[in-house]
Amino acid sequence: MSSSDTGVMVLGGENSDDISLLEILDRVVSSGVVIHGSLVISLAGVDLIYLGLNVVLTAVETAQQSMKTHIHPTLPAPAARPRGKR
Amino acid sequence: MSVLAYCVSLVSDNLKAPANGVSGARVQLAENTMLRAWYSEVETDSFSGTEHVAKAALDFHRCVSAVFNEGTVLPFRFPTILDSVDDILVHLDEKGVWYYEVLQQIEGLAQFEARILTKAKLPVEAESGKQYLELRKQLHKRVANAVESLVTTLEPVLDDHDIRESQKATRVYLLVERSKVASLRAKAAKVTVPDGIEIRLTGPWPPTEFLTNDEDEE
Repeated sequence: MSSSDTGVMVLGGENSDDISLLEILDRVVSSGVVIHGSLVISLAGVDLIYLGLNVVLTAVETAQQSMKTHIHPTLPAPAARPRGKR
Repeated sequence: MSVLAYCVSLVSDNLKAPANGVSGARVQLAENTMLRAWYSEVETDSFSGTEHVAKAALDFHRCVSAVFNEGTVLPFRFPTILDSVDDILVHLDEKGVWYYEVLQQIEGLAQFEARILTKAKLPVEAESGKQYLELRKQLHKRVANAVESLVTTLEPVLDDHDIRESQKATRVYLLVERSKVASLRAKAAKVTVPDGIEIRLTGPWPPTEFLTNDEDEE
């Protein structure tokens, strides 16, 4: 990481380890191509995309728990709710 | 067994992916005449359990990043899980023209993301509503100044930029040629940030925030 007290924190590049887990998670779940017809589930303001409903129910619970307890303890914990099929 | 889709590139770019992806699963190819996608067969329990979800996301990120380091790719949003590889192939056939055009548009480009955060907090008990609003206005002005300073400094190396505001932070997406990445980093490190403001710049990423919409989806 190259930074100064009053400058921009420039993260990533050769030393990509300095990008936090939260930033990577935020990136991979909120960016990228969404396949038409997928089921969209909203979790803490982030859309998670699945096609297999059996996978969704497990993953949302665990991801939510992960975000609450390990990644961002101050995040609100809204109930996982399907927003409907596209 | 389900499949987890990673990303798409042009066949003609002949990019390679790592041998293993999420949970060590073998990374496989799905191709049509124009497009190449990567995927892994995954067990559903790869996505159950606190540790597994975060690790799967990191594995996904590493796999996509490795391909992106070689050339132009469009990642799928994590986790895009489909019933079989046939679903990926059908999708590529249906959206082939859009993928082809977009991948050509973003050829040789990378995206950075600057997140502008305010370290200063507004007082919970301000002396008056007027004082609270005044402090909030000052805070917004500092953020606006930071954004302007960042964009102005980086403008000579940028292809494009996009500013988006949310309740938690202001984000500035920066589009830059890969050949100018080092220059952008150097310039960014010299930007002076106003007191009480923090700017975190991450990248390079695939330029997902600068894609033209698929008209079929509108």
